[in-house]
Amino acid sequence: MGNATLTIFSICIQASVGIVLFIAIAKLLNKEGIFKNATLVAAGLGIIGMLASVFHLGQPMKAFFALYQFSSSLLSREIWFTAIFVALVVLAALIFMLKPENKGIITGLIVVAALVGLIDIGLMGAIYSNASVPFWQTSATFVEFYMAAISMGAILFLFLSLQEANFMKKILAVTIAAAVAIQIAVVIPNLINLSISSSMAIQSSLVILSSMSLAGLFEWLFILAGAILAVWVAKDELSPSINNLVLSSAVLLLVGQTIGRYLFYAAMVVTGIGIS
Amino acid sequence: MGNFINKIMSKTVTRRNFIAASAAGTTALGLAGCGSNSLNLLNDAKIVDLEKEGEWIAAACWHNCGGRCVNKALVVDGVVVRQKTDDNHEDSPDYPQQRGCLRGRSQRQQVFGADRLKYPMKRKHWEPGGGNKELRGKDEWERISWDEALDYIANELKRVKNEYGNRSILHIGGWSSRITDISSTLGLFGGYCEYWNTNSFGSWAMAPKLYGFMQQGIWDQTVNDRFDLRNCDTIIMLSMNPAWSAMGSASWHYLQAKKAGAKFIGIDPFYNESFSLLEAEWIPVRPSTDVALLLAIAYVLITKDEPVLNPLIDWDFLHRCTVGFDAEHMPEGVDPNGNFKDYVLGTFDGFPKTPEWASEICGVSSLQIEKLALEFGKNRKVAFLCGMASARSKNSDNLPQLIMTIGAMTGHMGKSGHMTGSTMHATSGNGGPALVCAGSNGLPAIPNPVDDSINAGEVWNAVLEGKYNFTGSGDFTSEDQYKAGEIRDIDINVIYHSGGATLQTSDGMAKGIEAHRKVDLVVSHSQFLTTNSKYADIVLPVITEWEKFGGFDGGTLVHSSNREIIITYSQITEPLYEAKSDQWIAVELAKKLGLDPKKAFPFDEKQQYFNELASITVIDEDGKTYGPLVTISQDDIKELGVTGQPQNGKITYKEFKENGVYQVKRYQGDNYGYIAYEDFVKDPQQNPLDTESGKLEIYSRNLADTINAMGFSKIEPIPTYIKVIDGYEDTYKDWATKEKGEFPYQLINPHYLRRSHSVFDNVKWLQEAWANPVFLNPKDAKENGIAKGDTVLITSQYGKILRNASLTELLRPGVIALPHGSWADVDEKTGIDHGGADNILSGQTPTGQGVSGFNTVIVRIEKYNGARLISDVEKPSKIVL
Amino acid sequence: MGALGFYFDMQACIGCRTCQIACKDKNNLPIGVLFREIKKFETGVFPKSNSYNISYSCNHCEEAKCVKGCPTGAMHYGADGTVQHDPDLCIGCQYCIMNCPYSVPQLLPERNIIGKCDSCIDLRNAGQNPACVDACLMRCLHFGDLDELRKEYGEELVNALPILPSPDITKPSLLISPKTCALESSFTELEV
Repeated sequence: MGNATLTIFSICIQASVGIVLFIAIAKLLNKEGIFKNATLVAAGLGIIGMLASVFHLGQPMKAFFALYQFSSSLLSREIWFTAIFVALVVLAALIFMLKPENKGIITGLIVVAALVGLIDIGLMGAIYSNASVPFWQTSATFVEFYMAAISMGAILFLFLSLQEANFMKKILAVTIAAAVAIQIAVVIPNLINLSISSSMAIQSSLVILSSMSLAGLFEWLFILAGAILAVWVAKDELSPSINNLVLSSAVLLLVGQTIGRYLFYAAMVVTGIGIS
Repeated sequence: MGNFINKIMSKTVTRRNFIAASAAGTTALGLAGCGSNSLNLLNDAKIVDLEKEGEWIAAACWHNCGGRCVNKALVVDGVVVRQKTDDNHEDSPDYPQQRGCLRGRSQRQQVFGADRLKYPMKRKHWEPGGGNKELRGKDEWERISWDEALDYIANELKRVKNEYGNRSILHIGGWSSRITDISSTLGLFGGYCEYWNTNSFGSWAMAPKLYGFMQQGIWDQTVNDRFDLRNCDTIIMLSMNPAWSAMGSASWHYLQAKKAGAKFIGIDPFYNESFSLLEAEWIPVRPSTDVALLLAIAYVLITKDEPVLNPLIDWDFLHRCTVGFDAEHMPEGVDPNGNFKDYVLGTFDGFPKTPEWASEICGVSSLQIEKLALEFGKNRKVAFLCGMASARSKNSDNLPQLIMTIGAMTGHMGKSGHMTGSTMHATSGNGGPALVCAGSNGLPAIPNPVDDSINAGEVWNAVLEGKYNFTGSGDFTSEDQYKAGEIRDIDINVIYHSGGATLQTSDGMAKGIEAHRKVDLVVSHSQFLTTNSKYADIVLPVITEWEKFGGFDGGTLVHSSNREIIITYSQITEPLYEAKSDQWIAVELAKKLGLDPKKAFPFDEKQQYFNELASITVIDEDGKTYGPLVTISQDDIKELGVTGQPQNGKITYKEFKENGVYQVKRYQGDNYGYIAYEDFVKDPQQNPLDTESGKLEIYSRNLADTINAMGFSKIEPIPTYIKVIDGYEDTYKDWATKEKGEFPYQLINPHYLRRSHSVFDNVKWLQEAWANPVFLNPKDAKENGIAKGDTVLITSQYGKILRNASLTELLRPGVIALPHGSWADVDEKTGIDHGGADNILSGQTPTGQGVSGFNTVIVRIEKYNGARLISDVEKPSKIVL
Repeated sequence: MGALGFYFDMQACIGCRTCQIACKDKNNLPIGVLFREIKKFETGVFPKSNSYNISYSCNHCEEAKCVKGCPTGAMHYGADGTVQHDPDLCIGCQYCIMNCPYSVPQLLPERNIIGKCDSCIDLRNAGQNPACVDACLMRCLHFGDLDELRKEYGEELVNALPILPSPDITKPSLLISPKTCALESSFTELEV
């Protein structure tokens, strides 16, 4: 339960940040772009993510207490940034629905949201890499979070804005391929590196992972297939069959990253007495 | 249920209500099966506030646990919210608080446990004559009234008496059949067949008395008092682990000796917690091979002794204080060639008991044996202390005598810093007479007109086969026991458990279950569905000591308390559910049997309490004279509503009751010190021992005659090596070629802190603290394809059990350590016990003086191919009705 | 005046778990939750094997990661410098569980908030010792000013051992009198 809610939370927020990031880039490249679906979905994902994080709490009704310690707590800061990010995106979405003519405001909100979201992902990385979980205490945690946001964001943005984003299709495909390549280039060597660690906590984490190695295999198969598919469709013109391929790519990337994130949480082993 | 929790969790509930709710919670939650631990209510209630509102009451902690400690319960509005231990005085090593252990601290979890038996119960398919007997242990339970229960029992007892006679009623009350209230009722009824055992004491139970290895009339008082431990240079511990078997202050006392500079040596297959604490040098001996090891030590002492250059043996001591060591000191009328020294040297039998010979059996290298022997040298101050575990072995009747012999050879007796003997349980490391002596409740002793008494080692076989070896009447302390054996016919039709956990803790549980499925009626008194009760027909729920008016513990040494204290306790709670006291049952059953209960219980339990209170005595500061302990006023008598006379003592009744203990204040140089055998060793002529020769008998004609006449197995008058049944040699198919047999491992049963024997084993807090694995050396595990945490199937010739493996280098390879006392949980389909009960693996083979051979069990181990055993704490509590 | 914390005399501990039960009793803890816990470790190979126990609870660290990480301020320093926890502020986010290098904070089932050793501050305020201290059969637990504890029990007390996370992480208010074998870098936890 705990791992599932945290997985939903971080995947949704990161996907949302990714989408918002590409809406912002697209808007800067094409001032006429609207990207309504993408904005609404980003807002929806943000809300789901926030709800998941609230329901992860033992006391969801007291969730707002988490805002009290901005000055000292990384987690409190992360919650602030998540809340602000989601608020901005939801506001943008609301304006879309209620007063779509205020394009400037929407663009402004999206750009600010993208920046807040990027910082937020950094804070997410920081809360985990600063925890007493040696398995998380590597730069791979940040890379995984950012690359997940970029790869999921790019493909979802493309799928949700097929027509409008058509001009960015190739850039998006290259971005996805690059993000996945970086993710693999960092995460896989990191795992190999960890496997020779003397830390008992890390070894325990790896034992958990190896007990779920089938899931790990699917994670990478899905992510790779999703990225390859994204590159594949980029060379063709839009058509219903291509649209389906974009959707397939999005699903593969999303499922792959979700499995990966679940494993990330499942491998949590905190140090303790006799567990260094 | 959910609403109930919400209600008491909500902040609107006042604290007073909330405490009442938590009291209800114990039972309400219990009924729903979530146990009393589902809530964490008190976390926010400040304990100190509760202290102001409630009252600390001295609470009983009454178990056969190896300690005897102060326990107090904080009672608020009738609910126990917290416990604590002795804080009556400042704490110091000389004058220690009597602090209780984890089990006592869990007492409220036991008393208020969700699995307490609530009502009298009958097995559904039982009917007079037995009904479907095979269903015992698997039948459903039916709630019945007390009246029905007592009627069933009384009618069946009458029928069986008429048809088969009183001797067909086997009454078991724990270690003795004579000690429970039902003993009196059944005595008035015409008697009962008794059950006797040597359980805790093994071969120390009787034999030491015959050759003089006893002081104060008790086996384990041949060691000096705790202050004198600090005068030792070397403390050699054989087969003992006070850290797991003698709670209270024993381990702390030994630590004081270490701090005073004593070096410790530990002889045991397990490098146990005590050895680790005391940084003992380890002699990793195989189980039940101590005799071989000690004979080799005697050999080294004899052959290496050089009176001037290397004095090891105290010849003067041997000459003055012993008989039988050599040809010159043999009793009159026996062949001088049968002396101990010539046996060890092999003068006449042609085989010397050398370290090389012993090494092959006991597994300790000959070099290490030689080194160890030198540690005993007469010029060192040595304490040679022994637990009784290695004497809970078959064919071990000579072991205590050999321990005495080694002590006598090296003169470690009768002087400060020198001592030899067994020490265990509540008196571990603290010899000497009781400084406070328990009183008497004044109840008349009702004799048992039947003389039958069956030894634990064959009781179940006797029920099944109708024959047993009668060796006298009464329990192991009885004057009428240990007589010449006589094979008798016996036809047991009723088994009545009025106390103890005999089916669980006696040898041969698998046979025991079979025996319980043979008779017409099994009755059991208990607080939980213990193993005794599980296989019974009628189960009577009895109260705990917390539900009684009050009582006392200690003041009699053996398994009772240390010598410096007596404990008193008061009522903590009203009797729970329909539970009744054993005495109430004894009285009501007597009425149903048409007997006059007044003959056994002429006055009530409160008067009994008072009689006991008024007759407690305590030593004076002179260390010699004893006088009344408690000052009792006329007002006290009036308040108690009893008859009695006021008296003057050292503490008022009120203060005694409040403190929960009276403790004699000890200090270095007080008058309460104790050196065992002091007078005897100074002048054996003037202070003879109670033996044939008046001396320590290394050759004891009386011992050999007594044991050989009993007829269980044979021994010699001197300690000799006897091949042990189910010992190390029996792990081989062929000892000569060293071909391993079907059961290649030796299994021992260490006492375990999760429980006291079997008591407390159902308490979840304790199950959580102590998981009860089986301990294996990694080498043995690997050879059998077993990894850490795997479920292991352990098979002996008598039964099979499961436990999860804990691998440890602290255990000698070839030895399996299975914690003692875990409640059996037999899977009826496979016959495998998932509870890990030690006695499922032991058999019915009495030897020598009727010794139970718990630590002589041989087994094989394998990785279990069924589902992995879940941890005991995850198993649901056994809640019936 | 130094920080307040526990002193544990490993050389005297017999691993009996009386402190664990006294703590459970005082805090009325359900199964699965331990505010004080004991672990046993062994070193070496038969017959040169040895063992030691550690009884541990919250170390009331001077730089407690649980306090720093807590988003609500539920985990905080009390007036006496010990790490305290306010159940009313706790939202059960469990970040302290991830943060504490000693794995001390635990989620209380049913209440769904965190719980941990508060060094029996209610008892101490009333002039008593923490429950575990007064329960110990071997008198191997003490609580107080670490400077004074050092004075009383020896300057060679440590807060770093191979089995412990580095004290640099949180500056634990903990003093241990270690057994020699506890200094060996290779160890195995033993279930007993």
